[in-house]
Amino acid sequence: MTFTRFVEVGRLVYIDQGKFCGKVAVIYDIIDRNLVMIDGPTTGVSRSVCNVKHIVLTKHTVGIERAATSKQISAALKEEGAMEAFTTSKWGMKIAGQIRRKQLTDFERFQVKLLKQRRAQLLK
Amino acid sequence: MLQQFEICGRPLPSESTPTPEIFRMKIFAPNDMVAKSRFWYFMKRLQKLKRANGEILSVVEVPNKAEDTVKNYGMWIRWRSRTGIHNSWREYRSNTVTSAVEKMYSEMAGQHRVRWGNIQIISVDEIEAENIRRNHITEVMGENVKFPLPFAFQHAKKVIQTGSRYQARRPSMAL
Amino acid sequence: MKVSAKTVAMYPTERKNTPLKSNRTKHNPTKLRSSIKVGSILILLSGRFAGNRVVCLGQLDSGLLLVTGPYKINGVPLHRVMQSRVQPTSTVLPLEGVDVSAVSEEWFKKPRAKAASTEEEFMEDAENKRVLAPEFLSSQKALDAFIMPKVAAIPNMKKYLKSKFALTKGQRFHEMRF
Repeated sequence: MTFTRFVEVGRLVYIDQGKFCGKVAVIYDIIDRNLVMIDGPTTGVSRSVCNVKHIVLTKHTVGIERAATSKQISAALKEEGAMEAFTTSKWGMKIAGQIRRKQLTDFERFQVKLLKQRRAQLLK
Repeated sequence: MLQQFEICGRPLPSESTPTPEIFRMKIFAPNDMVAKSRFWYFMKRLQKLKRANGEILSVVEVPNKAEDTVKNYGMWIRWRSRTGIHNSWREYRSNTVTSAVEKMYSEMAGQHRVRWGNIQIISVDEIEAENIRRNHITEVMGENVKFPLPFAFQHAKKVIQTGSRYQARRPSMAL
Repeated sequence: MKVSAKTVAMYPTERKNTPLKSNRTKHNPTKLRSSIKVGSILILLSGRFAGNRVVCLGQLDSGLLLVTGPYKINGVPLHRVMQSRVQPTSTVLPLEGVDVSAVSEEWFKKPRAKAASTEEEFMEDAENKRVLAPEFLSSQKALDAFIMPKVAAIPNMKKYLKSKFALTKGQRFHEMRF
């Protein structure tokens, strides 16, 4: 098996720990084997140092130079539609669903329960 | 967390030398008390000056702004091992100078079991790309640097965060 | 010896018992939690009906909330609850113009139980038996009748009020939104 996703400049990453947990950002510089610089101008992630253990690599990349500015990154994201590609991907949809589920109110949770029951009935 | 201090001190003025020479030193220390103590430690070694016959004129903390650009730092250090005293040149990449120095202290502790007090920093400088000598720096410096995360326990991590601590199946590490 | 004018020659042998000045000069009415409104659906957290979803009808003078199941839907009668013993939800029924002026707090007050001296008395317990005031029943009916069409207007609302709240596996109360 060959690797297809790499820690590299321009890689979209999903952050799953720390301050920006649950957000998507772009790697714009590599400090060393363990640390990278990330920036998410469109997702509210400030330019900061991030441990590679705190991120999950996505399959999406954008064409940016090393040490690109926030402006350049957001322009590249916009032009290449990488963020949309992620949010409309199966993984992105799943994350959006999880967030939506967390935000449900008590009544909405009840309605979901009813719909689940209905689906189970229909499947039977 | 280390801070960088700039300390000025001089011998106490006397009748023979009413305006003694002032010495300025940059010191990395967790706080200003430690920084002042290190200042006297180094002054005793570098000059014939100690706390009893000298005074500190100013202690200024150099603001440690987290930059969003990565820089290469090279530092000369002198450290004492169990067998002798060594000089070494070390290189680190970081966005702040203090975190580069912190990296040096932890690396020295790990590689050579040197404690904080046994390391004397001679110089810390930002260095240009062409002056880099160490492989672990040059390997992440090039144009198209990329590396996989072969031991990314992403799925295992998820399971630990959300569900059971034990799994029937070995977690997949592939991405 | 010079005696000052303030010096008292004779002290009283007994101290007069004067009540201490109370700091509680005014009664602060209970503030209604901002998350609770007239028509809010509340989850009762304690008591006989714990877990039931009820409709809030307003705050009474005593600071307690007046709630009802409605009785017709889930069997929770018109009664008073402390607002700290409910979990408010963001769901609100449009109950503009609901009239609770007929409701008297006296209905809900328990008569003080008299200790039974004999076995017969205990078994009969005539004095401690609560008799529901006819006004209570009529006003419960009237309020239920007011609420029922509003509930019927929202799909699944009746089922929702009928169901009980419970936590399931993986649900963490502090992380949930209501």
